[in-house]
Amino acid sequence: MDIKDKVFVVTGASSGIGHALSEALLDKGAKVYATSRSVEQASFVHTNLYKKNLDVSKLDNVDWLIRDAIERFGRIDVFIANAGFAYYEILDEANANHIDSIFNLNTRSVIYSAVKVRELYKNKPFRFVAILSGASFVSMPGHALYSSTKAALRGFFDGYRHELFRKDQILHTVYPVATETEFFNVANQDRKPWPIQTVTTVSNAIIKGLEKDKEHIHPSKLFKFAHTFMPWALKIYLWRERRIFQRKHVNGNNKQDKQ
Amino acid sequence: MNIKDKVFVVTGASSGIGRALSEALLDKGAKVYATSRSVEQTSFLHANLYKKNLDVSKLDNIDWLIRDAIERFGRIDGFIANAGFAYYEILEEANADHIDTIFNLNTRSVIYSAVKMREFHRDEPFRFVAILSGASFVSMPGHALYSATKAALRGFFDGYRHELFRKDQILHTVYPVATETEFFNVANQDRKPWPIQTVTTYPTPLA
Repeated sequence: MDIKDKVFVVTGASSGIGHALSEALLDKGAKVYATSRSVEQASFVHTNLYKKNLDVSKLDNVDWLIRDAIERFGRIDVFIANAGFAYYEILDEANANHIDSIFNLNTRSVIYSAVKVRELYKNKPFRFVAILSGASFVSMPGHALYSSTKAALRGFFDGYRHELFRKDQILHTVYPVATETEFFNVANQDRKPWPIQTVTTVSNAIIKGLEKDKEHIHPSKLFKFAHTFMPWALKIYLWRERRIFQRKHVNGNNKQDKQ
Repeated sequence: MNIKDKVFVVTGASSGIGRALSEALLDKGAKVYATSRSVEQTSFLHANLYKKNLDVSKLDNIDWLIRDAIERFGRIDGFIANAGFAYYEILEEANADHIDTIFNLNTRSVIYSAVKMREFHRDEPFRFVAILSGASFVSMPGHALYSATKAALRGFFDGYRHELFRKDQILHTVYPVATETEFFNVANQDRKPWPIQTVTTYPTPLA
C-alpha cells in the first residue's frame, strides 16, 4: 500500500515504537490519530497529527476511539495496536491483578479492536497491525505472563486470517525482539537483554512491511533466522537468560532471608 | 512418578478427556478430586473419588477448591487443568462477552491455578498438568479465540518452566488434536475434523 494520505490510528504513541512509528508515518505523508494515556503531554507536533489521551485497556474507549477517528478524518485505513507492557517477575503468589492488567491491555483490547475494525469495515478494505513480540514464539524467563499475552495474539491472528475473505483486508503481525524503549523500565528489568534493536529499525521494518503488504513482519532478521533454522542457538540463549533470572530471583531472595 | 495413592484434582471431569482421565487414574490406584459445574450429577462412582460442583472460571472457587482438596486428602500431588471449551464462529462483530468468557475459563483460570499450586507447594514437589491443544501450535479456521486461549497457555507454561528451580516441580502441557467428546457440540461445530482421537488415546505424561 501507499502510505501517503492514509489515515492511521496508533495506540501507545507517546513513546517507544508507537512514537517512532507515528513520526515515520507523518514523514511519509500519512495522517495520524495518536493515542496513549499521556500522548497529549508529549512534545510531538505536526499538522497531520491529532493526539488524544485514552486508556485503550477499557473497551468502551476503543469503541469511542474508532468512532472519533472516523468522524475526524472520514475513515481509518490502518489501525496500529501497539500499546502493551510487561512485568519482569517471578510468579510465586497467585495474583489475579497482574494477570488481568496485562491481558486486558496486551491481548483483550487488541483482539477487540481488530474485530471492531472489521465490524465497521465489513465490505471495505482495511489494515490492522498488531505489535507482537519475538516472545510470542519463544517465552522468556521472567516474562511468563507477557509471553502468554503475545502468544495469544499470535494464535488469534493466525486464526483470524482464515476468517477474512478479501485480499484488501490485511492483518499484519510484527515480531520485534528487545527494543531500546521504556519497556524494560516499566517491566522493572534493570539488565536489558542482548541483542537490542532501536525503535527506528522496528518502525522502518513496519513501514516496509506495510508497503509490501507483508502479513508477518520480522524487524530482526537474526531472530527470524535463528528461530527458523537454529532453534539450538535460541536454547543456549534461553539457558543464559534463565541463569541470570535465577541468580536475581532465587539467590537474591535467599540473601534477604538470611538478613 | 508413580500414580498409585497420589492425589489428583481434575477440572472439567464430568465428560470427555477429564472424565476418561479420572477413570484411568482411579484404575491406577490414585485418589481423585473431580470437579466441574455438573460432575455431582454424573453416575460416576468410586471409593477413591470425590465429586464437587464448581465453576473454576471464578478464581475464588479455585482458592476454595485447592484448600478443600488439601483438607480432604491431606495434599495435592497433581492438579489437572482440563476444563475448557470453544466457540466455532466467524468474528464479525466485536463481542467482549465471548472474549472474556473463553479467556476466563481456558486461560486465566489455568494460569491462576498453576501459580496457586506453586504458592501452596513452594518447597514441596508438585505436578501441574494443563490440557492445551494442537491449536496452540496451529490456529484453526473458526477457532480464532480458542486458538488464542490455548496459544496463551503454551506461551505461559514455556515461560513459567524457567521460573521453577526444583526438578520435582513439573509442569506438563498436553496437546490433543480433535477428540471425540462434547467439545464440538458445545462449540456448535456440526462437522468434526478428521482425524479424530478417542478420549482413551490421550498422551500419558505421568506414566
